[in-house]
Amino acid sequence: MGTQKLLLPYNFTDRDRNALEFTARTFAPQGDVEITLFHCYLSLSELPFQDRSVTDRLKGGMGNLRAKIRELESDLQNIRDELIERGFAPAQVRTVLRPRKKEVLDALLDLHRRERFNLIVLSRQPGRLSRFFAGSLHTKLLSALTNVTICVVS
Amino acid sequence: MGANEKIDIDVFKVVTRAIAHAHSLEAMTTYLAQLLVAALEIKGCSVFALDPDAGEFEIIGTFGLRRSFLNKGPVLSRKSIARTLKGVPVVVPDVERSKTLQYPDQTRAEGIRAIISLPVTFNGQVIGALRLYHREVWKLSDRDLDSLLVLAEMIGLAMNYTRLAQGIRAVQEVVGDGHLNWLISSAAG
Repeated sequence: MGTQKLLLPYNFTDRDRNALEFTARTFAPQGDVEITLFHCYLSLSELPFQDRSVTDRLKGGMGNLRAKIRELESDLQNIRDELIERGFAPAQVRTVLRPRKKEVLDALLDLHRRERFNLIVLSRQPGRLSRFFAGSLHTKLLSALTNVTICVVS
Repeated sequence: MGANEKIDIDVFKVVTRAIAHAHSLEAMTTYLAQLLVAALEIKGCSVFALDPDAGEFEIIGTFGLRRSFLNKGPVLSRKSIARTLKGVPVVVPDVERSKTLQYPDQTRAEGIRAIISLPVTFNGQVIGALRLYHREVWKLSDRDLDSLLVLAEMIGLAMNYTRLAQGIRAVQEVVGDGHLNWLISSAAG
């Protein structure tokens, strides 16, 4: 069997840490796996309209948004370093950080269409109400994908 | 508009358009948080939904706060700025002088000096909270506070709309399921 391509969506919650832990424990000893750490974020710049008169006024505040994105890049890199410390080779772990226009599901499906993962390791969304309002991500992924193993870490 | 007021009609328009364009409650509340942080030049903003069974506030959308602060533990409605539950806005102008915080040490460590907590209501019932966090001691103008209350009411409407839409979706999934046809045809005899 060839190298497994594993997608690990990461949103920096305690439950995501459990999924990270599971991934490190289960796949680090195997060696034949490529991990994509994925995080997507909502950004105002992705909205179709921009009112210049106001966005210019809000420029100072928007700088905060750019700083947050740089912080995300560095945090995701730290998670990658953690996986490398746990036994993965640097070439085995990469990070993908991108803005999203729609739901997390759409961003994941879009990435999967291009990368064709064999395995997706997901954490359960943390809150009862968030799950209620957004719907369950793993249920949606299960109905949208075929020939992919999906692990849900609680 | 006075010199201390930061939410004018232009900001209100941008905020309203952003939340009207949002495809989900999470997107709506995240855009709202990002715009309020930018407009008010504050540290962060979070929108919570109230889980009445657990007695906890749960974050639906947030911006500006570090993950260590967001993951600090459950936000208990009876311990965390509890007066929000009575449906009134609570202004904590200086956290150093407040005894209403559930996590005072974490709040200080996050660099938060002032908090404004507004109830998100629907039909007179508190269903969530909009919280704004500032690095400095903060005196918000009455007019800005009033604008924020209107935004909090809009969130309440959107939360209720999403709740109903999710209910309809669940019914649609059951009705669209094949076994229901089997049930109907067997009932028709």
